[in-house]
Amino acid sequence: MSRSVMMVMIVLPMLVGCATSPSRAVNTAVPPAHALGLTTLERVFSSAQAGEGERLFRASCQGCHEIREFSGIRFTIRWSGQTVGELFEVISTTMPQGSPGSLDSEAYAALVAFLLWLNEYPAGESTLRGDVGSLKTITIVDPE
Amino acid sequence: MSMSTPVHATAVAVLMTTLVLAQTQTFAQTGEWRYHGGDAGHTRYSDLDQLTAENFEDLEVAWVWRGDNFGAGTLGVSRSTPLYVDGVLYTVAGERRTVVAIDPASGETLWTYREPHTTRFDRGMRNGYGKGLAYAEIDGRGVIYIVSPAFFLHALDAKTGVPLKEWGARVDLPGFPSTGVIDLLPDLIGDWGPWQSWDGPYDADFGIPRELGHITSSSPPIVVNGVVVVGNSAEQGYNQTRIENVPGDILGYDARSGEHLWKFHVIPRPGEFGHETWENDAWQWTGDVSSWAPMSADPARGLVFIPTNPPTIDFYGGFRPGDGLFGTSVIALDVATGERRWHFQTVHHDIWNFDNPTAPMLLDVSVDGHERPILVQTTKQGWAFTFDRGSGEPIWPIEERAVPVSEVPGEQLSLTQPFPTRPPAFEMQGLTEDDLIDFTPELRAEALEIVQRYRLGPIFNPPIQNGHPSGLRSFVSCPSGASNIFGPPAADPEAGVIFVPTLRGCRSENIVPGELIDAPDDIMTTGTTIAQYAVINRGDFRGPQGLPIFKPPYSRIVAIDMNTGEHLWAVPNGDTPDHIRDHPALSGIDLPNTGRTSHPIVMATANLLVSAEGTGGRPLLHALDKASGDRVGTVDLPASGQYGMMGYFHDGLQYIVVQVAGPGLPGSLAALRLTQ
Repeated sequence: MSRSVMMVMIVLPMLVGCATSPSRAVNTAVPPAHALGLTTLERVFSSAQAGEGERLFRASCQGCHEIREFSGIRFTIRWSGQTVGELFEVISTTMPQGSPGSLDSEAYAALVAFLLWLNEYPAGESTLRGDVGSLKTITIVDPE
Repeated sequence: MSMSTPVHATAVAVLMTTLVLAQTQTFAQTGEWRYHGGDAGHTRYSDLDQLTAENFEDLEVAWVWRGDNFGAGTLGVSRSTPLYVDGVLYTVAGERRTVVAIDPASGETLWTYREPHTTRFDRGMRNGYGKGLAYAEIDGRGVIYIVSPAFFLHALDAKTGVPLKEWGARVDLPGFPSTGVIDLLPDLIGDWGPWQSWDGPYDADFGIPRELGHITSSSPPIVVNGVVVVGNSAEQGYNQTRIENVPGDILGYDARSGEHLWKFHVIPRPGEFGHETWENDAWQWTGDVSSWAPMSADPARGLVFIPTNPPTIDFYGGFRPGDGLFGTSVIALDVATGERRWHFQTVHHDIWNFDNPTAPMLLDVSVDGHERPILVQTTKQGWAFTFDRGSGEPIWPIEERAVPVSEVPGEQLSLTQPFPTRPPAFEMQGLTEDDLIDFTPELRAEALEIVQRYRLGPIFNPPIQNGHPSGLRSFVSCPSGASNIFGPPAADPEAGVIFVPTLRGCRSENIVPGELIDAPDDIMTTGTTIAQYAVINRGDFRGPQGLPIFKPPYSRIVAIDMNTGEHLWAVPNGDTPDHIRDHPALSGIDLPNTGRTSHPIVMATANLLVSAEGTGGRPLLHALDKASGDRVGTVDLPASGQYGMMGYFHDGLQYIVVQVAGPGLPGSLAALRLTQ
């Protein structure tokens, strides 16, 4: 099922200095994903951001959810055709159970990045920002 | 009592013939916590009295035992309730369910035991679900029993963690000890038709062939009168797409030798009681009916009580018509023989994920002037089914009432379901427009607009499939998990009162063709025949502006006097969460205490009911007055409490250990004691 944290750890060193945090990513030469009306196939998050998202998933989500619930066809049938912003909105307004909205917006963005990575969308140098407006410009499409 | 079929009537008809040796339930021994639920009757009660309302706020955190580094990934959840026996704490940690012995005064790790890696482990769907251990004394020596995610039973010396000598049978896999372990699969599947017809050797590393099914475990075994009773878990029914699987039969082993003693078929074979409740020959190839929640026992009567899950696949059972015994039932087995003494099916042909999610609780109470040994099963429907635990006779009438029929092609639901008449339900029953949020006219209007896209209805509202002629998006099932494993109930056995954590919630699943979501390349996918329908958990039934769609209270603790079946009191869990109190749409509204949106966790002591707010709740531990529910004290925790807690007496001090996890803290244990 899911790829392991270890894979993130292997990929991460190659990206050091590129996009290890959302704020740094905005300042790189790579245009931020939200500015372009992109799809999830166009490297809109970084592996480091997805790795942070996996850590957060284990800490905040695993009490009720299994990773398997959010991968493969179960993810695409729910989200394909909608935007990353809508996914972000659902997670950030309803989760975690008991304290919805209790994580900061960048943490929710990292969780979304993890879900995209889990579904084998390609990682790149940009990162998702915790801003629902910009995230709504990124459309979730079927993985290749 | 009105029951519609002979099978439904068995809870009454199959009356106990067992000689009752003693009337009273054995409660937690003072200062110890020898069973997962404190005592064999799973009351989660500690009779220690050092803590009082007056000194509760003098509690301090004595130590925190962190659950890091017990697997490739750190678990951000703390599911295991420790045991305390003879001066040592025992728990499990991480996805591998590593057994850990802990010093109860300092939190220091004393020893660990890790099962070697197998492919069976990789196939596990509930590896991180370990809830704890079992303990017994054999010839004066303490023994710890653990069932692993890969479905091996290990017996360890409690003092050293070393596998018992001359116990069990050799497992010929790399790294496994030469003794002290049993591969449970051969005993489980040896007499099972699909395995007997399988053309291939047994592979102890891989386990059951994928074409046939897979089985794992989540709750600990229970040791009763020298017998280790082993339950099991299956893949979550809401993730399944194929109709074949292995039945979750119950296994009994000699605690002294590891010898296999008996097996109880949870899906009855031809000639066995209940076989006729399986139509379409589904008994031959479908499975589950697992006992994933913890078991309880009455050693004096020689009975073990087993709560069960539905058969394969949630929300669609068209391929398995019939009531499907012993799915979603409480089963009482003679622990010496494995023979059924009584049972009660709490949901016929369950497709609603209404599996019995907590251990049955055993109490001795006085009903209408008669001493009654009772069993209470709290359920996801918000009910407390109550039986004479010796006979299975309902203490108060349980009525078979008509329920809606299904419109999903091929589905044949039971025309009736059992409804307890007492105690009253402790949670909402279905969802109507009257139940919708009404803090402001605008929010109510939004809620009314949302529900127009769904089929509301009473409890047992049947699913509708995607593309239903009505054009509705889905159905709504409420409550979805009123009582659940996230917050097991506790009891004061001396008063005959139970304290039930309950969470208000609804679920709305999408029923789609199974082939649409089947994942053939996923190692966890088992079986061969894709179901006509399966469920995709889209979670798309949400309230307006991120608020719950229903009125509060969102979670409560409900005290029920089991002598009378009456609710004594109910209080919100914690306080109104920040995200609701500070919600812009609620500005200027005088809100009641809504309670958290999480299951509280509870434990009763001699003087207090102790409560934490549950996953995502504030990191606080509250003390409540057992008679009124009034909050009488609060102390800080290092993170939110979740799943459970326990207590013990060590070196002159009463301890409470709370299972905690939260930001910066993996699944861990926090021990509190009075300031010294």
